[in-house]
Amino acid sequence: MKNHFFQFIEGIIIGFLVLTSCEEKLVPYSNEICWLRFNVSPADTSQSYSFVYEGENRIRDTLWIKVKTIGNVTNHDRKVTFTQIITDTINAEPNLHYVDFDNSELADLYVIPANKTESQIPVILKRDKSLQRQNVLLKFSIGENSDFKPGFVLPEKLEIWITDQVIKPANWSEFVDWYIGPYDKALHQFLIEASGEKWDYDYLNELGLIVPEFEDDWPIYTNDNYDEAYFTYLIWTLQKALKEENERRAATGLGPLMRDDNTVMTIGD
Amino acid sequence: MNIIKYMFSISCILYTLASCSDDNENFSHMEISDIEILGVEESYRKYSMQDSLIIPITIRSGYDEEDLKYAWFIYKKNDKESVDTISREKDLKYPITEEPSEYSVAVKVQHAVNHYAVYAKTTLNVETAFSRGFYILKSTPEGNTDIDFRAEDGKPGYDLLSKSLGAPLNGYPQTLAQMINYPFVNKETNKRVYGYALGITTEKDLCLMEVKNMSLIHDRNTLFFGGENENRGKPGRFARGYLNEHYISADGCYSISAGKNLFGTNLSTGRFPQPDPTQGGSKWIAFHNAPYNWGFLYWDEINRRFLSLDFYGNVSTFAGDEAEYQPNNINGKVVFMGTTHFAEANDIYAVLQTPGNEKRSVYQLSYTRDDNPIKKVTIMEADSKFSQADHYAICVHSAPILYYIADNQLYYYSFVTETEAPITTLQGLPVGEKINYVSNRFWKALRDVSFDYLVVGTTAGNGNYTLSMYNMIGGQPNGNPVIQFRGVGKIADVQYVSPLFNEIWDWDSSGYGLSY
Repeated sequence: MKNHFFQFIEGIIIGFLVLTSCEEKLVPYSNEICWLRFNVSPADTSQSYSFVYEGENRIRDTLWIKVKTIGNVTNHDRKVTFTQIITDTINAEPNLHYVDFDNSELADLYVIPANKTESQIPVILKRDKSLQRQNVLLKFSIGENSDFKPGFVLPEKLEIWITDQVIKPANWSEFVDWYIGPYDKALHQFLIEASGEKWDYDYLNELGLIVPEFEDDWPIYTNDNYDEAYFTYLIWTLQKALKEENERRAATGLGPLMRDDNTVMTIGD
Repeated sequence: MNIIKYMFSISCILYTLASCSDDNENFSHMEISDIEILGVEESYRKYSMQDSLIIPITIRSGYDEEDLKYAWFIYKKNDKESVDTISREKDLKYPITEEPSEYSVAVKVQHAVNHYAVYAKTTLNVETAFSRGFYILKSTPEGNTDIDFRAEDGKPGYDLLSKSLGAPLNGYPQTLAQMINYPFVNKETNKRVYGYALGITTEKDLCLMEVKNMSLIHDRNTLFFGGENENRGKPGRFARGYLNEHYISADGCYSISAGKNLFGTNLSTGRFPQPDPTQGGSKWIAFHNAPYNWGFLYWDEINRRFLSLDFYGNVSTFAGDEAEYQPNNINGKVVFMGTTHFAEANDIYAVLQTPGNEKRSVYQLSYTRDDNPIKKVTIMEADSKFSQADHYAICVHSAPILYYIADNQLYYYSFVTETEAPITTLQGLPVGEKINYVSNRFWKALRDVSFDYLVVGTTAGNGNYTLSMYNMIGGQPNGNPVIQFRGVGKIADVQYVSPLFNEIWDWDSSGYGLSY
């Protein structure tokens, strides 16, 4: 009986000591898996490209896509894989509208260089005649290979609309619809001719017009570059140009300029 | 034995529970001394790049001074993220290099051992040599335009446009405007900023000058998008409205958002787009506080009509009605226009001269949406001093009267009694000088200086001027001038500029606003 008692006491004391002597040891990072993700802002997950601005001689062009690794750095080059995603719309065809991601000529460019965590990967677009009649979509994601798994940081997919016509820029928002007019190819073509500007993503960005962001569910359409007075002036000059064009047309017996949707073209009205 | 185990287990449990509770009896309480900071005033006003902020403080405390640590901080008012530590000495000696603005300066006095700390705070208004005082718009002997300046401490500055631009501004002077928080692009940093500006118009030209350093913000070539390619009519005036900066000319009314307004819109570059589609304008405007409009009535001298400009910058015309006097197609021209806010009124008065008629008319107007704003027209006799006057001004706050100059005498016309009388209490004018300018200039911004002066300009006919400013009682000058200033040229306009104007309070809550 005495032994049981003292064993009991011992158990209490040892248990007490164990509980009060706990400490945590850190485990070194040992995950061999490496991931790769797009290093692109949310505003750039959907881009558009049109050969129409680039002159007749441009038959190819390159968009550079930033990617970034998650995980270990290595002392050798690692392969980058992009995988096209087929959608319900008109999809870009490899080697017709863009250089196939698996093209051996690109192998040296589709890498994360040794001892690096980032790179820019070329997506080479091709000017096929079919782009004069239609817009095609190249949607793609990071593909899995022996070096990388697709990363878990958004965005997972990128979209590039390719065309040889004027194309609605991603930052042509309802704000621009309101002040200029709902997007229309004929309207877009007139804006280019009247102003000498492309009215593409870059030009709208210069005006301070952005892909809408949301703050407390409230949409934000402009950034600090935006100058309301200049935009007002620009719309006024375009309205004047449209009026002058319609007067010229009327003098030659033509009707007013029309939108693609067969309504009379207006700006800002 | 079982009882012993049971009791031991209970004891362990009780011990465990007891060891988790606080034992206050282990802490000892001790009274510590307080710290009182003396010597920090409520506010200071200093010039940037010229003055130092010197604040010697006295500490009243039971601690030894050698156990106290000090830290002084500065940050822009309402922007605590801009906090900067400027000294760790007991007494502050800080050379001011900050941009003109309102800042908070705080001192922290802390005991080095027990870390008990006390703070004291003050307001620092940083200005420049040009940011506070009276600006005098004048004509040069050649009939062009320049500006003189009298700082708050009386220091003069002469011919500032010539010094800044290399020459006076072309044309006879028209108006000088207080452009509060005008947006523009800083040429050094290429960033959009806002600041206080002077809007200057002559009969042929215009410019906007930054008050901080008397540098050019815009001239006629850069003020407008489209530059000088568009036809630009005769300049009228600049005016700062409730939310917008305006420029009115024969083309019409141009508007852009003010740099710092109630709705916090994106900063503009300060250049104007096209004018409002309703064309026409002049230098004559009158501000009113009519609810939901808070704008101006102004005179379109091309189409001879009155127009309305609201606080959004929208211009509208007035409809006619059956009344004898109509707001459109008026056979006459406005020779003066202004507002009296006496007894919280919003009464606008315009003096009109009809061609071929020696009688002048006093139009009383008030803003009413779409309706005829003309409430009453009084025809003054041809032989009245009123009809012969060559300069008018309105008393804005002190009395419902109009001032004017006739035959080297200052007169007033009472809107209430509809009679005119000479002002007989004008003292201290330089002997032998003729009166050729009168205005009412006032300032009553929140937490700033406050005055309401009758301003009288005189000349000895030798190309010089004397400016005399009087306190008033009931719109009448009281006593000798409180300020007297001399320069070369002929006075066309006078404005007071201060770096403190509260966009929320000073428009109508204080009842004073700006002068036009």
